[in-house]
Amino acid sequence: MLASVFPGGAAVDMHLRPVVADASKAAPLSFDAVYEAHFDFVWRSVRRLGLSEAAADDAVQDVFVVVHRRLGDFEGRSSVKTWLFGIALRVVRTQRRRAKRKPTEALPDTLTSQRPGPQALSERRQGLLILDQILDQMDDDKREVFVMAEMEQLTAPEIASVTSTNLNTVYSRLRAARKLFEEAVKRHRARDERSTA
Amino acid sequence: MSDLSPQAQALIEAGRSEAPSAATKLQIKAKVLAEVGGAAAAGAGSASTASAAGAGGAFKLLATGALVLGLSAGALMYTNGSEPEPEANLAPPVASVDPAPVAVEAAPADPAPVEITEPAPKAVPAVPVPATRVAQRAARTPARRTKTPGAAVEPVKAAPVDATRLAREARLLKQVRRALRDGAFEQVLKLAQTHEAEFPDGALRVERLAAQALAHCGLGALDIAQRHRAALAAAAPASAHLRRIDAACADRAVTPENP
Repeated sequence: MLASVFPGGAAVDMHLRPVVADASKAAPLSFDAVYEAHFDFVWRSVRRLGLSEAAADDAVQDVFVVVHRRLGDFEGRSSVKTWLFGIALRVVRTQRRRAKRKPTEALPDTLTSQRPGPQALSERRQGLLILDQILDQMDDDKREVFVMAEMEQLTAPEIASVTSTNLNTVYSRLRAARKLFEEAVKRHRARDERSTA
Repeated sequence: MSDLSPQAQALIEAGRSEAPSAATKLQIKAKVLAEVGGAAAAGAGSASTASAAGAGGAFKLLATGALVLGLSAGALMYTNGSEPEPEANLAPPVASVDPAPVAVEAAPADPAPVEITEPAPKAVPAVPVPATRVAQRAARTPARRTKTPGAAVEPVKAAPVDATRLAREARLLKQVRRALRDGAFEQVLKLAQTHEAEFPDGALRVERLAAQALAHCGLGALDIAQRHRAALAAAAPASAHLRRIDAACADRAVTPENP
């Protein structure tokens, strides 16, 4: 089962390695190229790791500030995507800690109450909302592994590298996260069916 | 991918399809480049990004406008003693990912105020946006939290971005910042009045309101400070300035005027 989750090097690498990663072998990466190729990925990743859209902008900015400063040191021993995810993960963790220290930074009620209700949301928006609600139910460790594996299709070794954990831990967390995810999806469906009945 | 149920995979697919707007992409890049390299890099970066994204001059203008907003607001934050967030903890855990020395250096601890100087000549030729020498972490602003479509947006009602107008506003706000930094609160209020008269709905109105509130706090006029704070909160409910004002006013809570 886990082998199917992590289909292995070649296929994944085709997905993970954009042009800039290949180019890194021949020429230094340019910030513009990395930004253009991976901005969406970074933004999406920090969102799925639990930041609001507004906070995601801040986090993405932080990520690319780090990228800009450290890009010259990147030697291409990992994929650019893995490297970026490592930075993004660190930034998100920092923001989480900051948010815990400063609870007043949470969005004020006036803002959250302005969000459109479920009826007004498009189907895709609803899907995103449910997705984030489910991910919010996971602890950070499982969430991170789940996002990397299922959303961004990083391989287990890549995840182990990014999170500085061993492979078995990655597998274990992923297994638990997938179980939680499926159970939460079922609960959502059951609620939907009850509300529409 | 995995043997998740179709329903679960549909949700994941929804997550994969989420993407920020091109404008968000440009704005964030402008702020990144402003933070790391100054206006010349920012202008060039914005221009090249706009080109790459197929965006026109309007996007450039938007991005550079956001840059000016970010710089001004960020500078205001740092002129009153706020420490920039240390960046050492932003270093990715990449040692095992890429043995290259990618650990991030600590940000300079110097929270020196941003200097906004005269226009960058070549970076964005069509848009004479003020050049900048940027303080680290300068872009922690209300503006940077308001640009994502679909997000809870701060209802800042700024006039349409105009580069010349922005440049004039930025110059004025630069003077405001200096006065604030020097503790010349009367001067802050005088300059803010000038800004208010000339740019009642200017792009930097939020920064002006923050400066006015802080100056009144400094003078012990807490009631007036509170009015400016309320106006700021109405314009930018999630503004980081609000916390600073609260902290500054709390320090001044006991004064001859407000025993």
